[in-house]
Amino acid sequence: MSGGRGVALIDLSINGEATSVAAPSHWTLLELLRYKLGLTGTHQGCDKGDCGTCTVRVEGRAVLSCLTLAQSAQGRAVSTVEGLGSGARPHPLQAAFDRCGAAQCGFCTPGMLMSAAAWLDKIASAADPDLSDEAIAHVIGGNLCRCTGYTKIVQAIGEAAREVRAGGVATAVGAAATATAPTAASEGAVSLRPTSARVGGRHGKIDAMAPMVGEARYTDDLVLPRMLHGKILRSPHAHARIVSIDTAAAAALPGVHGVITGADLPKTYGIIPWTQDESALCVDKVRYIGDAVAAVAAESEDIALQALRLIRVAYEPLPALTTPAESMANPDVRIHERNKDGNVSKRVELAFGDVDAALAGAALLVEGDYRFHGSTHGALEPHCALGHVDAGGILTVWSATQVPHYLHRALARVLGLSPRQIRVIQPPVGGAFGGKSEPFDLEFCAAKLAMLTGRPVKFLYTREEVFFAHRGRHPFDMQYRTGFSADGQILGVDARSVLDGGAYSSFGLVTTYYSGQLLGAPYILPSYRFDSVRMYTNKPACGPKRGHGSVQPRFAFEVQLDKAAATLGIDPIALRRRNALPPGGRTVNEFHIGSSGFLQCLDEVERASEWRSRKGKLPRGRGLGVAGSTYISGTNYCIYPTELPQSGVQICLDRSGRVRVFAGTSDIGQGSSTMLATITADELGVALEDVRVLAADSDLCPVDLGAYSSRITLMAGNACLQAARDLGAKVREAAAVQLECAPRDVVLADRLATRIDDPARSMPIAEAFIAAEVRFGTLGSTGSYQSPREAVHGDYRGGTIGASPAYSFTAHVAEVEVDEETGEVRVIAIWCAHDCGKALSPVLVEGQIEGSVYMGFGEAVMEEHEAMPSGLRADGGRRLPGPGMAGLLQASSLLDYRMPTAPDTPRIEAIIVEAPDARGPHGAKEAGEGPLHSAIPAIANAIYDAVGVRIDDLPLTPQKVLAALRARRPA
Amino acid sequence: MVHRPLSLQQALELKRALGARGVPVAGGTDLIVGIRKGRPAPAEMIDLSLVPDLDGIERVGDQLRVGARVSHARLEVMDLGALAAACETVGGPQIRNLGTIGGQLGTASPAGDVSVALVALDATVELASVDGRRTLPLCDFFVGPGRTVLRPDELVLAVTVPLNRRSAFYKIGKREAVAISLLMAAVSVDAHGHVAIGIGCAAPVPMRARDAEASLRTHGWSAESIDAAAALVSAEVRPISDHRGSADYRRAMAGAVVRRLLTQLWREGAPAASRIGADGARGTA
Repeated sequence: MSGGRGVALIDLSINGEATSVAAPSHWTLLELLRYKLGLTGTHQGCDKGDCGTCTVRVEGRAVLSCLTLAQSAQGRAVSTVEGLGSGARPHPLQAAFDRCGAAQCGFCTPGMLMSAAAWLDKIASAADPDLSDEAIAHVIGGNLCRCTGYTKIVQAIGEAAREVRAGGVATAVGAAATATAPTAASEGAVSLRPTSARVGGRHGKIDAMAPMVGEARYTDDLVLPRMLHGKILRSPHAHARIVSIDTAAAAALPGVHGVITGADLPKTYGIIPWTQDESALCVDKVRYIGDAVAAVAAESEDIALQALRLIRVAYEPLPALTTPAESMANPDVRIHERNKDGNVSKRVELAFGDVDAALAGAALLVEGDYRFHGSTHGALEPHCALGHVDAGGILTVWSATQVPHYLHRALARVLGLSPRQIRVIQPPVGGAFGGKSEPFDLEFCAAKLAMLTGRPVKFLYTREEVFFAHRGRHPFDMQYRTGFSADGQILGVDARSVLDGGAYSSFGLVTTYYSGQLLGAPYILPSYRFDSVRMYTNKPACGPKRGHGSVQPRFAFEVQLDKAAATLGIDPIALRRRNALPPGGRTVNEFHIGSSGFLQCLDEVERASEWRSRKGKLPRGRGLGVAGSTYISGTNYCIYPTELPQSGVQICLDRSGRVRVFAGTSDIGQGSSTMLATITADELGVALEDVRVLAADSDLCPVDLGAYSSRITLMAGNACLQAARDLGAKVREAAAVQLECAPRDVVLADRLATRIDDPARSMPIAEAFIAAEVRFGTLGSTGSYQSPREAVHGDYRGGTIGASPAYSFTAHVAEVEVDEETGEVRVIAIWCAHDCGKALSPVLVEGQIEGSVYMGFGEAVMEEHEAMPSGLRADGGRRLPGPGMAGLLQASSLLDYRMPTAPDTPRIEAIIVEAPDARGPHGAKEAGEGPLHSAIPAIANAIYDAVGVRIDDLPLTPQKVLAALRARRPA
Repeated sequence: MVHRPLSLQQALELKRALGARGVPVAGGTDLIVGIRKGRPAPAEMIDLSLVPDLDGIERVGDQLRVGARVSHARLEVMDLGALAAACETVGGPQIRNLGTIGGQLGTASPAGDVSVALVALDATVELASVDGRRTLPLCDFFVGPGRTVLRPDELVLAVTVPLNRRSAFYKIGKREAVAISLLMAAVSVDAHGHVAIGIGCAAPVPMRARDAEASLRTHGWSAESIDAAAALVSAEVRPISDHRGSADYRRAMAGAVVRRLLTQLWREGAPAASRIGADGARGTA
């Protein structure tokens, strides 16, 4: 924080210990905890009191440490998550969070725990406290979570509360409020975890406890000796030419060690090899408000910020194009000068079958215009990167990324180094959802400044910078025409989409394909044509957000189906059943579908929502809506052309019965490390806690392409299974000698190697490992995954894009209540049935479903990432933007960008459907993105059911609902 | 420099000495948000956390006097109708533990939930300087967004609300917690059936809907008079359009929400019970 000078000596109690500490007088309690006391379990998510991740207790009350001046804690008792309990002696809340799977990325969890602990102390001895889910939701109303949909958090807090009240487990109350209260069960025990793990068992994440005790080290928690802090100067213009940059005054400021501009990092990069149109710092022009212009490394953030103010940049403003229409109408105002076709970023036109004939012969033609707005990921951990050149000359970059391998390649390209000179490490990541799936300016700047200064350099985005970095959901304008037979059979689909891409390509080439290619299932489309065009605009770049490219068309299409059902008088679920693509089928665009549980998904949501007895019979203002969808389990091809495996896993066994798994996979909270541990433990007969997964460190792990396109479970899971089976065979062979049986008769389970025909004869697994090591030498194995090379996709240009080894299927039913006076929509419940093939870890699969449903709900009714329009005329007439607002984000804080809080979130019921796929490990397919899609059209369809109006323009705001209701009424 | 006065007299002397440069701090929530937005940290802060007598809630006859340092969290659990309901909608629980009534008033946001409830309750505000104290109706306290009649040497001491009223509050945010409102309204009715209506996010300051109040005074309570009052509310508000909602929508909602609150109080009430704390529309009391 800038401003005020001077140092204050503060005496306070931290987790029961008297502490005396000197800190700058303007520091917040959060800064004091993190930077002076090393208590990094308390996180910073938003810098200004909007997210709750920094919640601590002062005198027992939950407060936001980022809004509390450190000095005001003078003489007070402060408690943090580090004082709540430990892995060996967890607080009842920590134990319940672990048991219930309430922590995914873990970033919000410490704040959640502190809010819940304050409440638990209050109700522990209350006469008749309200322990309902609604009451608990209000307790954590000031703590945002982006992973869980709050479902398992509310459940865990409720369980802990009932346990505390029933068991009389006293939580410490009073001034110190350290509230260390181990559960009875944990006394003397090392862990609460089950000692055996099988695929399909109800276990939590292997690493859930680390953030809950403040032990997880996210990137910003890393501190190296002599570390410098970096800051980036960003463009105030949406579109301008850089005339000159003068950094002399900034460089001369005491405490500044390095200043760089675009001239220092001119090499372009981009996640897709064919569209490398970004540079770490702008070279000749800026293309959106927030584009990076220069970077500084200094001894403190304060000094770095001061230095930024001393950099003089002369800009020549250019007209700002803030909508695709403006970009199309002004092809001579080139956002990228070297682009071939005006401001067109990508165009894809594909046709399958005779669509025109199909539509001409249709009994019913449904035509609709749809608008899908922009939304952003909202991961609670801001992007962060730390660069350091070690004594051996190796550049190490720690980054909150979900694609360390692509980052590794991009660093080499931009810095002009060989990949062998670079090590990339991904520490625990506090949520990503696609928002950290390509390289960003701060990673290059941290690396370059570390190289130039010889000191470690760390960059941490402010929340506003996270909104600038964006790469969120593309706004789509869509025109859909769908032909149906009189009995509701789909005959043909004609789709046109305009994508608002923002200033850079990002994944846009893929997005443009996905906008059409992923509609081929779960229904039979006899004929299909799509025409999608992605336009550059002077706004933060759009990219992949959970359900990349296919969430928008899915909204339009599922509303189209609902309109057809209403017109034809067919039940909307029946209409979907009638058109379902069977398992083993082939889509119109020639993707080969393996297993499909789509019909079971429809059955399940119909049953769970009591659809048959309630649909059409609810009171006015209340309604039910249904929708279905599909998604990929990874893409068949790497982003860059290669014959190399997409996933590699290496496993080592040791003499104590422990197992180490090395994998390049990125656990971003979704639990990929737990997935690897589960497969390994199941195969080798050890407990989950016996498996340590070392992931996403390019020096230690084989390559994995990263956490995107829902690929890890299928791809890395298969590689892991291969490696584990290889070792399992060796262990069984060695054990069989001692157990005097054939290797195939040895079962590895429950930390034992056992004769299947004589369970009394067994040996401890550690001894079996030792026997195997005696026989085979040091025990290690590798596994690889490469997607099927036989044709499982179309033989046409683009026919591989969107093709996957296996497809997941989903159905949603939403129930809403509409206030016809205000237009407010309350989503009461969402039932989601998802076919994930095989749930390797059902608790984690439920968590993915709940989080996906939550995220879909949020963007359907509340969230919007949009910039101010320029007022530029679409007819080509133009005016120069002044120091204007064009391209300025309307919401760039977690206060203005409204992610749902716990009290907003509907009841979410996750239903797992298992249609095992031959290509998945144990039959498993994806679960992390599919369950988002149809939540959105299900809500829109439920609004129609409730009050008879269609809102085809997202988000479903009260204002739009009210306007539609009024437009319908006779004047 | 952070000053930590131990008495009200010391605090007022500091305020006299420092004038506008001396920024009073209690919960500090808005202060740090301002600094994050790029405003310089105040060079001189007067931390009021050790000043006695600022955190009392006391009953004086049929009125309640609430000290400036009382947190939202303390009020939201009391039987205080619109005031408690408004306090419950501010920020999240952690903000309500820190944020104070004095801070809410001093910030003078047109979107201040609690200010709207207080305006509708005919609250008075008590200000002090070393020269003495003055009391004025709260609706005369606000001048514009972030501006009040508070003099540079004055501090907010307390607000006083009448207890013999029934009242209710409703907020159209787009989020249940941690939300700045799209529009909110509060209505109170006294033992004689006299109505006061406060509206937020509809003008530069939390405003009273005087035309609607006068109309109800003239025509009494009926379904028709409530409709007429709601229409007058929509006519007299002066909202702006922003990314949270258009002026037209806010205008329509002001009327709709006031109609809802009036209808609720009318149904529960007449003749008005002599207690505050009928169920707010948001379900407190």
